[in-house]
Amino acid sequence: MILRAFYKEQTYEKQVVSFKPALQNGHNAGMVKTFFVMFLLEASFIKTIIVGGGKVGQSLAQQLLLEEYDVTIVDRSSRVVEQARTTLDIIGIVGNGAAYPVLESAGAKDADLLIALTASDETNMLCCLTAHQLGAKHTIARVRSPEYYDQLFFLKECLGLSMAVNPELAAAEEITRILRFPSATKVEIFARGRVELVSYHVTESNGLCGTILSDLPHKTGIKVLICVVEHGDNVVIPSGNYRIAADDTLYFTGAPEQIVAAFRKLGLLTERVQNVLIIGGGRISYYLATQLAKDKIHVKIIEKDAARAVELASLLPKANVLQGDASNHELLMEEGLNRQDAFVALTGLDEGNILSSIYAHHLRVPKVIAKVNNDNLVSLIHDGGLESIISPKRITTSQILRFARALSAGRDREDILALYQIVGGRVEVMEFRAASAAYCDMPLKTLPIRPNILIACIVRQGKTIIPNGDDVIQQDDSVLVVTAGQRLIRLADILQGNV
Amino acid sequence: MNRRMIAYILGWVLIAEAMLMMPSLLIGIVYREESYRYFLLPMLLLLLLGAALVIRRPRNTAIFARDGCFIVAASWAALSIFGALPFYFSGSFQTIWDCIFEITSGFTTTGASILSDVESLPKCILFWRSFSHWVGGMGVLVFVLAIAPLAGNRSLHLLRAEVPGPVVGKLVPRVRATAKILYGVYSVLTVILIVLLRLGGMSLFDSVCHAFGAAGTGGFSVKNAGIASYDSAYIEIVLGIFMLLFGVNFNIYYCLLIRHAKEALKSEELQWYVTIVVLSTAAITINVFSLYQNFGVSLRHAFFQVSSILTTTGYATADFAQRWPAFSQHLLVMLMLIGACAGSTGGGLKISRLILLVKSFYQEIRHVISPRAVRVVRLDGAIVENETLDSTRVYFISYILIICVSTLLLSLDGFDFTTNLAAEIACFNNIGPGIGLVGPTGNYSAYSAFSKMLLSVNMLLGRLEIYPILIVFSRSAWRK
Repeated sequence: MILRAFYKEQTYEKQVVSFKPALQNGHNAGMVKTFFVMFLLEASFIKTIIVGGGKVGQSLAQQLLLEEYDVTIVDRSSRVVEQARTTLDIIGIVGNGAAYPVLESAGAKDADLLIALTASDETNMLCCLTAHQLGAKHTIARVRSPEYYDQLFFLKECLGLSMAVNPELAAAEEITRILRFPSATKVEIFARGRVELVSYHVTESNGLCGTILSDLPHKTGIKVLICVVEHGDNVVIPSGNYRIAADDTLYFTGAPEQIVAAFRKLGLLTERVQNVLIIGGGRISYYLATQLAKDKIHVKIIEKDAARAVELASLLPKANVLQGDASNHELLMEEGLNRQDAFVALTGLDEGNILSSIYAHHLRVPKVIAKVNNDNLVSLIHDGGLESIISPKRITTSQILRFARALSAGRDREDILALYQIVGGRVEVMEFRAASAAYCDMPLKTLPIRPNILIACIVRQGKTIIPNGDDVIQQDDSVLVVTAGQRLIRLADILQGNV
Repeated sequence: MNRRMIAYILGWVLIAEAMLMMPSLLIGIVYREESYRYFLLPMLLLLLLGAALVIRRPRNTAIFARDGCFIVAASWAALSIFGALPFYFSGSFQTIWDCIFEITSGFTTTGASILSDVESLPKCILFWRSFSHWVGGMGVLVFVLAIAPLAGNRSLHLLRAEVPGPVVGKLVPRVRATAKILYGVYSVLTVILIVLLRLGGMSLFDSVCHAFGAAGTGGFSVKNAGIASYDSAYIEIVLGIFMLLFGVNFNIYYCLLIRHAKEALKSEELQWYVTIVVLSTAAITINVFSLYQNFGVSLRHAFFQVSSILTTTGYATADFAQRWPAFSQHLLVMLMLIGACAGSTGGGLKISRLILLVKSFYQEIRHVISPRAVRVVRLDGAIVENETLDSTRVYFISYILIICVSTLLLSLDGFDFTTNLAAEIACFNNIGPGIGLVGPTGNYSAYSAFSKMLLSVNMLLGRLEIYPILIVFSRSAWRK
């Protein structure tokens, strides 16, 4: 019995508006009613509307529901809405998310956050504009087209946008970072580039195998910290006596130059990338080629569609654009895949990307990066020997989550500055600004810090400190916290008893 | 099928039932009855079983539509079996089958009884009997969803299987908050009714029990003669109005609460509901006028009976089964079939389904006249999807089939056709009293144990709207 959301969805659920006005009017309406409304309220949840219930919309909703958000999903397709309604604890509304009556019935008037994630940039922007006019407090639009994204800096204000997300640009930036530091499988930056999180996969023949973590500083003489170790399905925040094993993925944190130095000492540094072969000529490829061109890296792009290939060639005068089917291995060999420093698979097909990457991996291309949007596939890939996976979907989710968390931190001065999800979302790295006296100016070893939480880095006046037990957090420091399975809203949440 | 999750949620239901027995135990202690002898053992049993099931939360909490139906069916079966134990221990019932029939009738808010002398029962047992109406009215899983730490994301499957109506929606995004709002509205209305009945001169115990009966649209009374024993126009009018209120879709109260009165009153279902009440009351008043020779009295009885039967409560102030003319009897049986609004505590086919059926019938006629006409059914201004229409039609067919087959099986006991049909309709639609031998002054004790169990299953089928129960009997649902 598949029941479509026609009845309640479009009549009664229309009237779902926030309790907040009712609460504010409570004192006129009499004690009884106020009490009644209070009783019904669990807490004042943050009202979020997601327009576009696709892959990103649903995975975002799933994340938000774990925290104190109420989610309404608007989508044109009744099937999508029905599917979201049965798998997620949300209200679904069928309709065009940029239309006034639909947004009104979704409760945009007193929504705290509206996120527009439809397939069309124009709809997303119009949707945010409409919601803003209706009274939504914050709006986020996904804008993919380079033309629109570039002009957002002067449109942002009149559209009422709080943030614009460009998944392809963000993905390209991440790939560029990896290619600049090819020893790593992934590089993330924090504290405006002062701290990097670098992941490294340990193979059997590697010298690191069998090393105990607390011995590392003696070996290298340089302070870097391994904050997370991933082994198969297990993710741990390691203690000093952890012994590194083959197939571990280590996550290093530290200042960029320190990490490079440490890698050099450990003999893990590989050569600079000079030639890159990219398959698929989509938007990520465009952004990536533009960024790599600045680093004077030679780029070769293979695109299937002739018209798009011509377009790319005119957009990217420095790149070498080829027209052809990249799933044809002969073509890849002809273009010298085995002589490339790096191979990046960015076609629209996850499976195609994975297969081509495995092929490149077998040809011993030093650095192979694949774009994979489907989470289910990601867990399978590690078995194939691929380590660097880029998921624009996950990048989008974590960018929006970071913004949403900052919203819920609300009045507090100590904002979340950044939030990154690593290891398939199982570990979160958060950057906070320290403010509270609850933890400031006390040696870390005296603080009652909850288990599975690690203070990875402190950035004070531009200097990166890898803390040990005697270090202290000071007012206005940027503090990098690594957590597994715990959700922090404020920095004070790291302390026991403060949940 | 996620068996561990089904067991986990069932465990919470058992714990909730143990908690729900608490008030009855206390009432017994207040009235100096041996309630601990009836209630302690079942409570202990429920707590132990429940604790064993919830002690480990399953890692995989995903449930699907099929699991939702299983959980609801299993919970209601468990509720009825364990709920029957206090009755059995009290010794006021002859067989365990009678106990199960009585408590199923309670939880499904039917109100059909096998007892002829209820006044001789201990107060704590009477309270448990009435309280089961209140719990069953809004649904025990809705209660569990509001209090227990269950899977949030997929719990719509539970709400859907338990809350009556062709389409179930939520009031607010979170299922948990929705469950709290529903129970909040329900409790407040019940308390108001208790106060109003108390003001009408009913004793506190009687007002509480009768309010529970009205709130869950059940119909168990604590008096042998039912509501007629008070012979008070005030009580009848108050109860009549409140039964109607509990038969309204609860979403409408939520809309009123957040000040969207205009939209709430525009609801087509509400308009049909009011129209049906007004027209049937008028028709019956005229029809029974010759009997009472007084317009006021006729109106009073007609209104109370219409309200009680349409909302599937089953309180009676007049013996319509023996004394009323055939036209009124027939009209009441038709009201039994229609039932209350979707999303209320009432049973029956539901007004919204009736609207959809009537409208598609009208569209069909139009289609015969001009074959090229596009068939579109609207409800509250919105177009109804074909899938919903199809499932409504199929529901109606299964509904009629179940009545036919069950009546056939009941006739093995040798009673007359009217009695069997009325008993089936009254139990399946969760009303209670029918016509013939099972009218307001009669009871179901004469039926055999087999028929009592058949009627109990019918009550569950009616309360849970057929499919959750039927699915348990389908082989494909058990397949991996």
